[in-house]
Amino acid sequence: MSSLSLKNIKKSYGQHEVIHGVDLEVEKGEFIVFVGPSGCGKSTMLRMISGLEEVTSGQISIADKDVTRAHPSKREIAMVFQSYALFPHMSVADNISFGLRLGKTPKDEVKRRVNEVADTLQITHLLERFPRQLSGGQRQRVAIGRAIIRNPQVFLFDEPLSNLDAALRVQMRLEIARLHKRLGATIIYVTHDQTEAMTLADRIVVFNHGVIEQVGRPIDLYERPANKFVAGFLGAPSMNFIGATAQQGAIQLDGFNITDAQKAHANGAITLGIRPEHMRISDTEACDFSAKVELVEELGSESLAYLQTSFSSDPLTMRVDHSITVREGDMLPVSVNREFLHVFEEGGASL
Amino acid sequence: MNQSNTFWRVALLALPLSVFALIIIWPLLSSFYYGFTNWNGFSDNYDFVGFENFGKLFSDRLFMSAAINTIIWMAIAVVLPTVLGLSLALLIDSHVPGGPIFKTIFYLPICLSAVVVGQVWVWIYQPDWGLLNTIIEYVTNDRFNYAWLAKPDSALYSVIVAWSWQATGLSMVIYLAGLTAIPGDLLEVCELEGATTWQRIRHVILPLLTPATVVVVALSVINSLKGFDILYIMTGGGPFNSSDTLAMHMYNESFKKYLMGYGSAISVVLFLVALTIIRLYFKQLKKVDEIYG
Amino acid sequence: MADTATLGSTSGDYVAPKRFNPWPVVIFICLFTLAILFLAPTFGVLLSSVKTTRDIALGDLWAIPSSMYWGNYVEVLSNPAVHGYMLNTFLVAAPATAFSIALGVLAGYVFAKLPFKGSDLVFLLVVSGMFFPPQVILIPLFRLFNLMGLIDTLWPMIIVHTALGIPICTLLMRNFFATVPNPLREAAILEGASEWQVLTKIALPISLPAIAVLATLQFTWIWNDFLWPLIFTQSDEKRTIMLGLVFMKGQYSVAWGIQGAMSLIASLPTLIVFLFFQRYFIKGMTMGAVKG
Ligand SMILES: Nc1ncnc2c1ncn2[C@@H]1O[C@H](COP(=O)(O)OP(=O)(O)OP(=O)(O)O)[C@@H](O)[C@H]1O
Ligand SMILES: [Mg+2]
Repeated sequence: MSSLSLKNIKKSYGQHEVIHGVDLEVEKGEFIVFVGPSGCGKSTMLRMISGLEEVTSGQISIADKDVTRAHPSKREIAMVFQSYALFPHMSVADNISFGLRLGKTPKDEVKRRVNEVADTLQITHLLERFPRQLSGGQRQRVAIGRAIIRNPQVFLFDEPLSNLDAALRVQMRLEIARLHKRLGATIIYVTHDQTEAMTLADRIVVFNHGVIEQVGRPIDLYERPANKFVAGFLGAPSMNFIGATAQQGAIQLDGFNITDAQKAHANGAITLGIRPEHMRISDTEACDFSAKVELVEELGSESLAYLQTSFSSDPLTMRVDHSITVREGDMLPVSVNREFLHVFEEGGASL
Repeated sequence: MNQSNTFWRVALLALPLSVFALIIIWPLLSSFYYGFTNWNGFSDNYDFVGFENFGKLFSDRLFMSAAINTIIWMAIAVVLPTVLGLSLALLIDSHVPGGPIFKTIFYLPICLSAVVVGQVWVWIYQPDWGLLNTIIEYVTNDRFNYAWLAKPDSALYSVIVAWSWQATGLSMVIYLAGLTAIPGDLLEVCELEGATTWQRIRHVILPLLTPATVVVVALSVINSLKGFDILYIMTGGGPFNSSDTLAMHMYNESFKKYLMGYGSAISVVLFLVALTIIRLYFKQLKKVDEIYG
Repeated sequence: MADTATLGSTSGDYVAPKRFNPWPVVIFICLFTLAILFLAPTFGVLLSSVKTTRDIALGDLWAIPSSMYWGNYVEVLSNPAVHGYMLNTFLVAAPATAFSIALGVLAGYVFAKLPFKGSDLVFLLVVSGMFFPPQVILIPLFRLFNLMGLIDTLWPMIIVHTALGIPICTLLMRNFFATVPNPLREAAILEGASEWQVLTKIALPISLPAIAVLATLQFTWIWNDFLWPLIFTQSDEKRTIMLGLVFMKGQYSVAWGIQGAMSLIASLPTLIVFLFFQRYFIKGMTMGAVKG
């Protein structure tokens, strides 16, 4: 059964179209993460699913019901905002039970369900407090509680953790993952954070300029990006791109030859993509090319070396294990893992 | 550095604070002083009369009725401009076409002087051709020439309505400012949770407007205490002192009867009432700020 | 033709019918009705000013006039007393506005940028001055200016309005200066500027919007004031326009049209200020109220 289905969704503000036709099928229980650069339309898409924003054209179905023009409250969705959106004049318990109380649910049932939810989120001791007396993480839990109590078909999260500090973000990330398992809920989740996207998602949806660039399992997107945009967007530090020319699959660069590329049919102007983790320091004899270290960033567990080469105007980023000492100015023999080479045609599509 | 800061503090504050002290603080304090004298406003000799003026307040029938009228005025001022201003703000805030024009229309009276407002409303209440009676005649299809401002039963209320007409605009803009300060996502939560329009207003918007309400109510009460000009124009406190307020009574005793000592005693009462209200207001502001700030 | 073309071009898109929302219409009608009620008093004055006294007395005030009668305006504008009233009001309002803002700038700057122990309390004391009814200081000030022999001149009004403007001016200027970043001041002082130079060369130029707000507010209030001229003037030569309006009412007691024209002319300066600077006006009103 499909939990959420988007068919050719378009959205315009006045004359200005910001979503150009989006199709997506989400299975029940799936954790979907929307990523993409700022302003690409992730929030807009999420708000159209919630009904806070009307679609210009297209069709939205939730649990196989057409809800394109349904009121937000009738869509069986729940939304968690980046700003938490808690009512300052209501206690935590009242915030969580807001929707129930509007619907005139009997008092003892409200109480029972609030306690249930508070238990799940471990905020029972906070129920009597007001939002201003809570930390950011606690506020976020309350906001999630308000979503859970609705028992929705689909949860919508718009950058829910971006207001938290790094440590708390990791903790809340784990908790959301646990919650997803426990509730078996369908979740659509918008984030800017690569790690959040890679760790939480069953499938990642990459947006760019109001269209979907690629949908797939995190590992698939990482290993087999459909195009240059996705390849560059996912993975940190991002992929090195090198402009080159190919002839019958053979790519010739100044001091770096790839004759055995699998993409045998590559021809003409192409872009070569190498992830920083797919380069390593090798023996002088077996190396693909040699490069001069321009700068080293020590990150503790590993270092990033920025390499000057004769064939690329931009320095190449390479991951180096922390056990190896690299100094600025060193000449290094570098070899590339051929298995993970990416080749993109002039238009950006992967070959 | 520190020394020069002190120098500049003194230098910059000297003029404003001395003007304030001379024209506001000192007269305020001397009002208390004159309240214990029988000064007549002109002669250089006057006597101390102790608490006589203050004792006289309680036996002064006109003072008592002025005090009651002032309380009535305050009570209506709490309700009328507040409820009207809030309703107008809610209506205008709903993105109705022409919103800014409506806002200007309702706000416009604020720039008119009390004299002009009084004048305008004298015509509304005019018995023979005033708008109010014209409408009543039109509706009932019968002669009607009740003199609203000349009857003790209606004079005070007629003036308060005119005053509220002007005060509503201020309440409205304060409420509008309060409404724009409500975060949009809180209202979106109402949408998502399926609150009806009434539930949204009752459970979310009104509570979140509490800071604005504190300001509106306090200003209405304080301004009603100041209400003088419009009353002077419309009824002069009459007929038979039926629309007298404390401010009016104080003026009459001091500048019509030249009982400046007694007038000072009334102004002391006015001051104490105002002081109480202002302290309450500041306290509420602080409390509200803790919850919503 | 055109219809089929557009239909054809979007045939792939599914567009569900929109929800119909009747509320905007209802709200518009509500507001429209209220607006008419609200405008009626002002409109009445306008109507009266272009009608003859006879027409009004016959009960025709509220009808739209078939022809305009300008006689009322001619009568008012050719009256030399009115010119005197206007000039007096201007001679009070302009300097008092300027002085009160100047004093507010000085005090507001100290409270914002050079706070000292107890300055919050002094500030609160000054600001609360704006809430008290003026009757509280009426008698002592009358005596003061009487002793100085200034009754029936414009001076008492200028002085009193300057002083009464200090609370609101100090409040708004302090709040505005508080938004000016401190490093701006510190950098200038490190370069050898004196506090006075910081105030006049840095703080003042950026605070022009706040000064505009105060200028509109103060000018309107002083122009419209009635109580102080009532206390401090005696002769017709020194009356301000609002006082003149009331006294001329006696002169033209049943000349309703002339009264209407007078009210309108007396309100014209503040109406103009309001319509052109409405944004500032509203800002000042709400700021003065909310932060008080
Ligand atoms: N109400 C609006 N009116 C006009 N344009 C809008 C409106 N809301 C959003 N847009 C435009 O739509 C585009 C998508 O905005 P959206 O907020 O969905 O981006 P986003 O992907 O969520 O970005 P971010 O990562 O910064 O949150 C942007 O170009 C934005 O300028
Ligand atoms: Mg967004």
